[in-house]
Amino acid sequence: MKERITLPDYIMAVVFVFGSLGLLSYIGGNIQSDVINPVEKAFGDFELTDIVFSYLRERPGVDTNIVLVNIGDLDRAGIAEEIEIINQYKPKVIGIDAFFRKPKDAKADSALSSAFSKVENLVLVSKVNRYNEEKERYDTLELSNPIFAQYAMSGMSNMISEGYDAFKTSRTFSTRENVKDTSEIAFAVKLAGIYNPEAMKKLLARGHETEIINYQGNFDPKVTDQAKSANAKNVFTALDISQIFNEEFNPDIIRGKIVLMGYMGPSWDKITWEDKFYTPLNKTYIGKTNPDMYGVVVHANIISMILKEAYINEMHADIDYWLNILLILINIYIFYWLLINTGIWWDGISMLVTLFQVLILIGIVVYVFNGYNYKFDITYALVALFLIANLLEIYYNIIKPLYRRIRKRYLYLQRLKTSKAL
Amino acid sequence: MKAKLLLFPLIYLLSNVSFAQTEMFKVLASKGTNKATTNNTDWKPIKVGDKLTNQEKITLDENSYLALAYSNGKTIELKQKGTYEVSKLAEELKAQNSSVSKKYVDFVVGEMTNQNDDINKNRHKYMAVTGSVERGGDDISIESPKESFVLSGPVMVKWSHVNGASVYIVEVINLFGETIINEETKGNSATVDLSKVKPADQTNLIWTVSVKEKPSVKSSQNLFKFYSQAKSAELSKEVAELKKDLSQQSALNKIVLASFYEQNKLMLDAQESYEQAISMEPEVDDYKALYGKFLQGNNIASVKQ
Repeated sequence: MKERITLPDYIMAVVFVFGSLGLLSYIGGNIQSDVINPVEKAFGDFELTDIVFSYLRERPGVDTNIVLVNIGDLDRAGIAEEIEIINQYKPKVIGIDAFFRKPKDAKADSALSSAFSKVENLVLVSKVNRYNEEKERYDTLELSNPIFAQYAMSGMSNMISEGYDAFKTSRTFSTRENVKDTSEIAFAVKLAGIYNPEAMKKLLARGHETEIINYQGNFDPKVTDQAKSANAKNVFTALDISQIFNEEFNPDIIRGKIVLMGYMGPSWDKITWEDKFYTPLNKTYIGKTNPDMYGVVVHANIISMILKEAYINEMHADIDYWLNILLILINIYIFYWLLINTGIWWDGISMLVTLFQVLILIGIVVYVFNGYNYKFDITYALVALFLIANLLEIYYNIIKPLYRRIRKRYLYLQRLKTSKAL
Repeated sequence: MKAKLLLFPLIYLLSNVSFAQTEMFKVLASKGTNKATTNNTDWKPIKVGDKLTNQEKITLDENSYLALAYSNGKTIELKQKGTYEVSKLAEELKAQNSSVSKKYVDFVVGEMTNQNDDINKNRHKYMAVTGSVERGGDDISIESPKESFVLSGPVMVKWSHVNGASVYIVEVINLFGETIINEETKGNSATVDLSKVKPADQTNLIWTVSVKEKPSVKSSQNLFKFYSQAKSAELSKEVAELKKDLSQQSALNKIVLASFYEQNKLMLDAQESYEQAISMEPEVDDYKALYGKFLQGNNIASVKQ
């Protein structure tokens, strides 16, 4: 005959488990432990879903809407020359991930300005700067010099990343920011909007201040055998400086497409980590490693995501919270039932159930993210899962008998008092 | 059985925490081998962001450095090899009043220990980087904030060296193009004494740098901005109080001062204070990282640099 759990007993167990988890969480947040710190530091920037980006997700195939062009260390005259060549093949829009703030050499400036004037749709980067906490908007919008900017639209190229002397991964981007009396749309969003206005409308209709970047892939000229390097995942057509100048490309890769020009190293013969960001595609996602993606490729990934409408949706924080609570409540019931009904098998069974559930829950998170681009966080439930069985043992073997004894003693004293009064 | 097993980690965790312990200091910067203990046997390395309680002892090795912020806003730097009791260090600082500096010390604490900050919720703090490159800069690249509020006093401006140049001219003009200050210097920095500027001229002033031998080689136009006289007097008073609070010449105090200047948009003064802090403790990476953020926010350095 299996023993049943009464409601008051279950409620007391729930109160004890949540109280203990709260206490442990308080202690965990307030101690500095040698054991915890290195682990926390190494895993601090790791998310479960990184496994999907770096290992599980299959290459989506080449995105033919976008072509990347390296500007290397070219000066303004050199960039003008590149643009003149590219423009012959009628791209839909050219975006340049570089600033041209000051007038410089008259001849080169004139050449660049002239090249810009011939481009049908040109987008230059801008930078929002000096956030005003009181006004909740930026004070400054930095643009290229008017002699160049007059032929271009602008798009904000600020990344959400620590950037300097830190290794936080670039996971999200801001779709638009308020600057003075206006707002500035992100560089990648602007380019995607010119190429496909409907796609941009859909993005903005989502009303998210930030979007998670659904990384499609990277660009690595050194990788010729993609099958052997899941990390490289070359999904963008890219042209180096010499390939542009020698016109070593099929015009169809440019005609009617988005041409995204930016710095991707001095040339593809030289490996450089400068101007690169850490992304979830990085295969070494635990601990410090080398940054893996040029800023311009991050923009390409955002454009690709917008055009494919392959957004990552996140569970609302409140629902996520209640999902964690529900999982904990279910597990308290399951483990409590096992504790009072499995006798000598309890240790083994509880261990197996814990491990089985951890694997299943991680599997579900990864599967849902990989298959449906939907992200939810069950970290609290997973941590609780490791502790529930032990906490219930304490409750059942120590707290509950103690409570019974105290209650019995209290009732006895009450009865004694009553009988004396009589 | 399992309950007993659970007791081990619980005892371990609880051994690290005594509810009688009071948080005294927060670690702002650390260099070298610094360790802390509560029981004289179990020494743990000290890291930036750690909290030190009144029951702890700390030890520093040769050439180590530790910058601590006390709960009342006072700061202390430890550089000498030896063992220190946290409670005694706290006693030294307890009586000292630091109402002015506390706000800025708290700000620095937040800036230097924000590893667990939610990057999306506080995205504006993390959007200083673009990754975009710059093509075609100035002949003379200015290495100071190009726009800064100033108080009436000396400020330092810096620029990059130009090959072949031996003498530079720093010129300050008003919006009518009239020269207010014109100074020659041989290095690639100059201290401009703004106390020479008459109150009537204290609006926006443009400053440039050019090479004396080749006047066509010059920098962009940069801006000194002046607050109203009332605001300026208020800030000057606050600076004086803060300097009194932070009278000890230490790198950490310079960092706190820099944060005051930065928050009040006195960017040139902030830069000078950051650089003084780094020159005092050149091997403390935490200060360099903070200065790096400042430089990026003011477009003085790119990701590449």
